[in-house]
Amino acid sequence: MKAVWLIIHREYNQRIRKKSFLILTLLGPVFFALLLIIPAWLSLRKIDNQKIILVYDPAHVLPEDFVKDGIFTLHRFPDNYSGEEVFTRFSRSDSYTLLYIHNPEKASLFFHHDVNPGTKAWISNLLNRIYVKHLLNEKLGEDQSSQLPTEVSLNVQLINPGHGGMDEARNGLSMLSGIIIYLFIITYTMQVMRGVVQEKSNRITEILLTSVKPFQLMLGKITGIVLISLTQFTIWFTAAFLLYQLFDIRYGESLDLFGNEKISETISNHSIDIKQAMEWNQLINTFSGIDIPFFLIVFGFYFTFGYLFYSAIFAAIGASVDSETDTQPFAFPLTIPILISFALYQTLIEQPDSSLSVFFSIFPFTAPVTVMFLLPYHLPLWQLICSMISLILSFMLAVWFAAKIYRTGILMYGKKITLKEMIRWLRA
Amino acid sequence: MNLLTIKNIRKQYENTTALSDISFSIPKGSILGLLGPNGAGKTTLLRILTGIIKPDSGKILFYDESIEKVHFEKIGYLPEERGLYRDMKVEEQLIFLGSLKNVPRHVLKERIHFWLERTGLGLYRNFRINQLSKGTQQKIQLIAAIIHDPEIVILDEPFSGFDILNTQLAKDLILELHKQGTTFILSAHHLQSIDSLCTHITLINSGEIILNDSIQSIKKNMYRTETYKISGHGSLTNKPQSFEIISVKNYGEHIEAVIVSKNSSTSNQILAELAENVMITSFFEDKPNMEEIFIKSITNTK
Repeated sequence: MKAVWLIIHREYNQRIRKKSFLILTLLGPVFFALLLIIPAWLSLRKIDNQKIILVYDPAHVLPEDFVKDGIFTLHRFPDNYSGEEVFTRFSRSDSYTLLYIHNPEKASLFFHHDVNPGTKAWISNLLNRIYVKHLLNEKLGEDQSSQLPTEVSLNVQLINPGHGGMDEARNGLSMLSGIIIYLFIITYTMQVMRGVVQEKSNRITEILLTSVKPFQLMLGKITGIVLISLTQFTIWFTAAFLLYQLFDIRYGESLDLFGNEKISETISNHSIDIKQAMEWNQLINTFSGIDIPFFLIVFGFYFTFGYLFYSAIFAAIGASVDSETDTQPFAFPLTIPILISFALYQTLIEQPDSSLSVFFSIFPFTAPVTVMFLLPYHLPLWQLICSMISLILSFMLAVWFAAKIYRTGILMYGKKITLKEMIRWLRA
Repeated sequence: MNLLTIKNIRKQYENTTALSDISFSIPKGSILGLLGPNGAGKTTLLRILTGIIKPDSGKILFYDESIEKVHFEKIGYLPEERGLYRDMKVEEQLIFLGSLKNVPRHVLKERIHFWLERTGLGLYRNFRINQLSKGTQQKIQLIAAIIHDPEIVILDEPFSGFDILNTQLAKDLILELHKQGTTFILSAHHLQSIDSLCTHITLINSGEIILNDSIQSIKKNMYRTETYKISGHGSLTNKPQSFEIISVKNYGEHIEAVIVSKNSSTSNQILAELAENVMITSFFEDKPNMEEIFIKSITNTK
């Protein structure tokens, strides 16, 4: 055990002092920032579209020349449209909202189903103002209307189907976390493989093997590198946690004002920029819809075991070849399953229950990426647990196989190894 | 007393037999030259002796105990193709390798200091390996093989790639440690490089031991050829009594000849007969060098 510890210690100490560690440690947060910023940005883009309000007003309650109020633009449906036609067009449109005016006394506001409460509050609030103002002006004249109460509650209804901001945010988070876990696993796994090839090609291996068993050497190397990555994660998460605390202390209270519970109140009571308030509400909704600690734990698990699984295999490959260029024919085919899961991204997230998605989330080569894809959507607990167990078992199996290949390959020089030979070593 | 005893070691790789039933022993305090052509099984044997691989069958005794991990810690090894971690500092590297052999850190620090000074590398303690010249790296590798103060040091092709100065330094080091009681195995396919150091020779070919003896007894048994090389002025008699002429070259008055004793004549009797016609300028026994013994032994066994 002492020998393994020494190998781990050396591996860790050498790598933590390297420039590449520093660069990756600084670059990591950039990746994470992208992970947060891009979904948020995607969801904010939607807010611009919310300015368009579709109006169906066959009774001509609103004046014809009224097409704009603040940031709203009203698009009217022609009078000869049937109600059915109006709804069909609305559900296909980018607009969230349909103002359906039955008669001067009754109007309904329709939203796509997944519009968040903040947006609804904002739009209802403003439409109330517009609608009531115009209605009263028409009936009573401007002087009298200003003395009357202006709140008339609109009948708010929801309509299917939707394509709201949450979906955009989910999409971004799911795709990006897949890409990031892929990049991390490959980066660290390649370090293991390169390390093994270097030790083999500069022949230090032979000296090490007089003191340690091949398996111990392999284990020490893999563990040393996993500790490096965990150090990196610890640095990142500590920094993120501290930043969050700082943010919460400074802005936490104000953030509450933009949450779903208070957003209506905030918009009516405070003289603030409504559009900005909506953006904050949208951001809060994007991230409160996702359980971030759970997400990070799952990410950490799949990174660690995905890395361990792949690195055992790549260590065996590194041990079987003489130089880094010789690793290509073996390394490339092993990354193909991951590439396939990227290619099938859309199919996977659209049908998270399909047998294809279930298979990809459990098959060890694709599990880390696929689970990250599905996590922001729908991933039943049993599927997650099966996938985790499968990955742990595959990792143990991979280490067992890899140790056999490593043991033989590491002392073999000047010979191109074929897959057939590797299989023979396994039987040895 | 034998430090290592190798008993009936066999090792088979797929279709080739690397070692077939090898037995020999290495006396404590000897410098054993392990010789054999490429592919003879030397590297396999050394890897078994250093614990890197296990034999298929057979036994190795360290003194009279069956060899185990604790014993491998008393063996130093310099592989033929050598390398160090290129991005590690000299001292760190030696501490790492020594720690793997279970030597306490403070002891290692002292020894590293001693050996770096002894080899004139004191200044390079905190240099990374890739900042050093090849010759310096070779010295560090040699120090790495002896830093844990092993009882037996196995050097595979110890001087290959060394320049003249480093070769001399390495030879001095070997002799110095030998004097202090360290046993050595020097493996080579070129005999000349280790000829002057060895006290024992083991020849291995096609996975079999074909000669294993001390230098003295090899000399006694194989050097007695009774062949002489002579040169001088004059001419050889047509029918000499005490010797036969193998070959003769005439350079005017000057002759050079190879002769072999017959009728059990001693060198003095031959000299007496020669002196009648030739003014002798040189006369010496034509000893085969180790290279020739080597080839002869291999061809004999075939």
